[in-house]
Amino acid sequence: MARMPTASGGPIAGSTIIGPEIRVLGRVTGEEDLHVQGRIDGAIVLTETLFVAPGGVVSAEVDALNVVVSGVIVGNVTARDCVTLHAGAKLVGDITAPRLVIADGAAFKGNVHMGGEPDNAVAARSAARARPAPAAAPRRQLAPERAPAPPRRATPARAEPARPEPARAEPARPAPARAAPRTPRAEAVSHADDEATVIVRHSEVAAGEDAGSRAAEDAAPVPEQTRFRGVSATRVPSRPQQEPEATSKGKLPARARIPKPGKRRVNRR
Amino acid sequence: MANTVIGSTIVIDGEITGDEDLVVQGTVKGRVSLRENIFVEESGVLEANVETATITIHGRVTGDVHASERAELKSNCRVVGDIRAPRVLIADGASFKGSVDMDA
Repeated sequence: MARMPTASGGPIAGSTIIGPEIRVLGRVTGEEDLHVQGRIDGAIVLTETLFVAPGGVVSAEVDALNVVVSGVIVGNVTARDCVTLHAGAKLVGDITAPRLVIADGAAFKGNVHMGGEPDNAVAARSAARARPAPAAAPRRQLAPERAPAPPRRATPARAEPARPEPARAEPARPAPARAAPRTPRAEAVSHADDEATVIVRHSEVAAGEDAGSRAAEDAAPVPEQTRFRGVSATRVPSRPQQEPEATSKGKLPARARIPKPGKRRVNRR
Repeated sequence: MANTVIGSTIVIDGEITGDEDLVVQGTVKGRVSLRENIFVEESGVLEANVETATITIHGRVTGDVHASERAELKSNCRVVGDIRAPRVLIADGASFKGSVDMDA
């Protein structure tokens, strides 16, 4: 079968090809290489290698031995061996693979999990991904809680008996009305930052309950927020009172780092 | 030669649409809608309603087949379903259960 070579490389004969004019909607499973030059929507489970040729579009959860992309994949990709993104490739989704190669010119958006993490970190991460709202909630709380913390935290405590819901949701958002207007700001931060920090923070929240972890919560996000809003003068002075000894380790270098870019930015403007 | 090949270990559960030839060596369940030619090879299993221009069956097909030009059942094939096509060829040794409509 004469065939033009693809950027994904490898011989095509003897394997499965979804040609450029073909669209598959549904689930594709198999035990041989699959070359996608057309389009697949749904799910792909292979014991061998998935090749997405230039022009090929895969909008699916992918599970394969290797995934070699020169086209587009939208969906989470799990490879038992290696994921390779060639120049021109575009991948939107999370990658789970022990090996990942991203060439210059490839576009990728998502999380990468290469293993080597303890299992509980993985679990916390997937939990954070599954419930993005609770993960973001503690951060939204930070600013208001700094000054009038006691009255606000009394509010959910009072409301709690009325609701049969699990107590976990309560401390996360004391008042939904208050959290709502702040959402855009919190999201802007999380978009700009990599999601890994969100996850770490969430696992901290999960590990220690409420008050015990609150100090840690405060300590972790603050340097980051300051980094993004370089010149928030109100935040910087308020910090020393709040966290006396919670994380002297993480705080000091962070503060030393932060004011400089902030000041520079101010000067430019 | 056809551009699209569904290899012998591949199972597709869903829908295939497109404008090019399709060679089925594996299994396709669901629906197939093409404007070109389908070849179901001896190892191929098609459990689907099929719309196509022509279909050539060496393997197994379960489902209704609507070919706008021609449907060809080769020897050793097994077809269960109705066939609608202006030209239907059934070779000696083919197994077929269903109805044929050649008015289409």
